[in-house]
Amino acid sequence: MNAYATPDDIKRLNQDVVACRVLKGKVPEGCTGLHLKGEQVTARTSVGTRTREDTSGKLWWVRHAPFDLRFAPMPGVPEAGVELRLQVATGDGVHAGLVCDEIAWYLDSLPSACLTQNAIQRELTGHILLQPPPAMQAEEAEDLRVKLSTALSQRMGLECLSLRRVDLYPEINCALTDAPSALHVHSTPWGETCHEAKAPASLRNLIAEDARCQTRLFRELPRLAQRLRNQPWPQDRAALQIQAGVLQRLEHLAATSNRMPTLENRIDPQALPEVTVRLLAAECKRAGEGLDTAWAALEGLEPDIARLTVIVSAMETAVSRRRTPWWETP
Amino acid sequence: MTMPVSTTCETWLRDTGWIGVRATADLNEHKLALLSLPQPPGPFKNALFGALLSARMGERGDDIRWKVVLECEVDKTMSGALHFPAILADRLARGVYPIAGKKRIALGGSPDWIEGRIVPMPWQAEALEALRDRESLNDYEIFLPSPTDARCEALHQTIRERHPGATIREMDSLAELLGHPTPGAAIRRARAFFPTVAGNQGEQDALLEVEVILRRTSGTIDEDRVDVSGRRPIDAQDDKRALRDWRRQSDRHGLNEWDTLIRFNANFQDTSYQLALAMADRIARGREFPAQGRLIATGGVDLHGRVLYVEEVARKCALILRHIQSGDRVLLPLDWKDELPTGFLNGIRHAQASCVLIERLNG
Repeated sequence: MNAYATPDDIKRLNQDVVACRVLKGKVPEGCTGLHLKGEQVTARTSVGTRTREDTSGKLWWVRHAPFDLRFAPMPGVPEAGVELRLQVATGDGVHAGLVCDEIAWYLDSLPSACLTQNAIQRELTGHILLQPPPAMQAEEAEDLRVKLSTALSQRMGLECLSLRRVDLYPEINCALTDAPSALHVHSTPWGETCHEAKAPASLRNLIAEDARCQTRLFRELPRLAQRLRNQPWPQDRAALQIQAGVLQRLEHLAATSNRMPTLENRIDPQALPEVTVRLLAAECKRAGEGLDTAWAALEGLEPDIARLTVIVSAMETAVSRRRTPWWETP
Repeated sequence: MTMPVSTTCETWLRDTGWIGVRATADLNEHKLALLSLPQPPGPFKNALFGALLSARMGERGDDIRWKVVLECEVDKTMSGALHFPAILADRLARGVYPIAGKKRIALGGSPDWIEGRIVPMPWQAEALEALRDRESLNDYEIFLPSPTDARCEALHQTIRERHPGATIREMDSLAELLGHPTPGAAIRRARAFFPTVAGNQGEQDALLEVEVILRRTSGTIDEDRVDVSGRRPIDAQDDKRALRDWRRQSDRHGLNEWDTLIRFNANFQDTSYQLALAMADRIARGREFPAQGRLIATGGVDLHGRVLYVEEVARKCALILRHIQSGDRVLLPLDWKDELPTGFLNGIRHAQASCVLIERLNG
């Protein structure tokens, strides 16, 4: 894997590539240069500035113009799509310096040197907050957009500028999206189906996804607690105690969520029990999804503490289940 | 709302015959969830435990305060065939699949309960023969994966003919329990629910369901083939004509590409099902997103997609409130706006469901 983006990737910066890690060069049109050190942005450079090699950190060129994604967020209905207009929060303009750390965190955790629109789309397909209801009304779409934007800005430094329903029927090849999957399962004998489900590649993806979720928990839980602490506190004593209790649980979760054992087995990867790995990874994913819903619950002027309590309980359960090492699970 | 506390689901095993799995659920306000299996420890228990937890991953808002105890009538059987009835019993006991008053049978399995795709067991044909030969299946709800060979298909047909009192539900994934289409399935199914009222006392008021099943035709045909089951022939003719005309007039995408079967779970005398039917049809054809929970709709629909007023606002609203669950989506005609009972919308919101009044379907 390349540590730096290829010239082809850099050429596509204003097409389907959103960010590229580079060694040095002149910041291209429509982009902002971000100097990252660890998980923080130490400097920003504007269009046309020639940057030198940064030996102590990383240099990324990030497109700051909005871009559109059209896709089907729910795999069960491939014809029903959404169109999102997203923009990287590079910290320019009136919000300078406020939100750019999130994109720095996200870029720093990427396994590749290039962030494409397709990668973002893959991450958003099936997202827990991107489930539009049937007969969605305009105010519901706006509500969904605000929640998604809150979660995305904390997760990966992206803002959602607009969200609307689109019809993907003319764009998809229905013949390809229908039959094969079900027919394949049905025509395969029982034993073979089980065997096929244990493809090593799928397990590797699961382990990588699990690691990403763990990173999210580690990074975002303290910030979630911080956000709750900064919310207005209620005057009523009982409500105050409930909010303080949730905050305490959240802080405890933040302090202990980094003790989850890895799902990797570097000595003998073939010996990993697949069912256990899938279960544990699913728990971690559930905890990660809890983060999204928790951000949405804290969005707005008045936090939804009752909902947050349930979310925190679910995350606690998921994290405590995930803490069991795979080698000790029966 | 009354929740079933204890429920049983049966299945058939090659060596044992018919056995049942019983789930007892208890809502504990002060403790986190426990899933308890009284069986002795061993690989069977571990596998069953894994299957149950995996299947719960696919649920929306798994309430973590439920304590569920699952008991099998035999405890030495090492069969994966018990997983499917156990999962159903677990959901029924917690009210996640909330259709009460029926006995259940489940035949099938899954290689991966996280994905939740349901496939036939190796002995499916023998199990179907045993099902066919049972004396009476009245008031039974039977869950079966779609048939994969001619023998199973013929057996499905025979069972339907021999046991007309049974509700047979073919499903390819657990998602279909709430009426959602299965991703990538060759046959698409979507369900919606609608309230019906009968009599003066409200004792016969019920939330019925309509299921739309689609299979893509091999080539473009002159006209969509539509069949209806579960209604009187004269009503079925009306339904067929209405759906065809409505698709032709106001929703032409995918026209003449589908073989359609509309299935009602009970006969009724009401016209307020049209919105539910139109929405189930749109969801199955990918013209609309599915709800997170169930879709409950009432109202008429004209040829241009306009949602029409229907009678009995108060009783239908009361019925919906009695059955509403977290994640459900309620669609009502906009003309009901001034007649909605006080507190109805708050009740829906309190149940963490959503409700909108609509004037017309999106084209």
